[in-house]
Amino acid sequence: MDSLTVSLLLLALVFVASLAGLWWKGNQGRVTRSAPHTSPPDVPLGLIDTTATLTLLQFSGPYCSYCAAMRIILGQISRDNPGISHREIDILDYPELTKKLHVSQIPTTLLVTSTGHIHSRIRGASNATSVGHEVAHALESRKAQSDEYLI
Amino acid sequence: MNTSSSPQGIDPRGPRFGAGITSVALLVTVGLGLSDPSAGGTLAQRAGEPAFVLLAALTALFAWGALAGIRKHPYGFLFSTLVKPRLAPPAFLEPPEPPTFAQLVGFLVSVTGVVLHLAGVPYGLVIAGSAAFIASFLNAVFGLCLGCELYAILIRARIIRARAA
Repeated sequence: MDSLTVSLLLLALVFVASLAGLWWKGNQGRVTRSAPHTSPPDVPLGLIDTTATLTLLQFSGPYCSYCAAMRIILGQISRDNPGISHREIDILDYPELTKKLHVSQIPTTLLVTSTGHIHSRIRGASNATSVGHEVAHALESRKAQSDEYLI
Repeated sequence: MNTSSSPQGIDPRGPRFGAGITSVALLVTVGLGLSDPSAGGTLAQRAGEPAFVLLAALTALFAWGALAGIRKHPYGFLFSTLVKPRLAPPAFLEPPEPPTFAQLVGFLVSVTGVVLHLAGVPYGLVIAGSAAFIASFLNAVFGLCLGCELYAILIRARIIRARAA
């Protein structure tokens, strides 16, 4: 094989690996919001801090290195914001809940209201800024809901 | 409930640093292998090809990491003596078992290339080298360690038992 072909093939290899990496990276920290509803709580109330407006419920597991990174970020947010709690559970301790809530990767973080309803979920590792935005949105929508109730 | 953090974790940047060196070496291996991918000639000729020698050396390094553990890998030593003193302390530590298991996966992939090339299978070395390159590149550049993910999946499926902490 001549050197031009070899170079092109090597470039293609690096390109494919980069695409795969970018795809993975793009899926990390993806946020999905749940529709508001009044059905029974999604999450058992024992797992959340019912005195807090919002509980950041982190699903972790053994040998998950980004779970530790997420723990630092979520812990900091809960310390900085009164009314926000951070709870962490191991998926091995809660296999049924993990299945019921379709937690398919760790870390997964659920933003849970004090009534046990999921506001949104963050799949994979995220950064403090994105989590902060999502927390702010959750608090706003909680406030909007309670204002509506007052009217 | 900190089952996922071990008291004596490793700096996650260590294995990534090692993966960076490995990925460059693997890209060179694949390049050398591509210039003559036929795997022709006698066994001794095939074993003397630069691409083969390089892949064999990388296979030995993977075996070292898998057997001695990621902490005792030569690149880990290089990282802790040359690189780490120049960096800020890590934000978090990670358990050493997943990257050690990833070394085993890397060993299995690269030893497949070694065996295929010795057996005279065309493109055997190139394909195994490319697969190993993609994995080490993803680890080095994006921080995605496929072998570690596999380890965590196997532990969660309880196929392999975690060593008692």
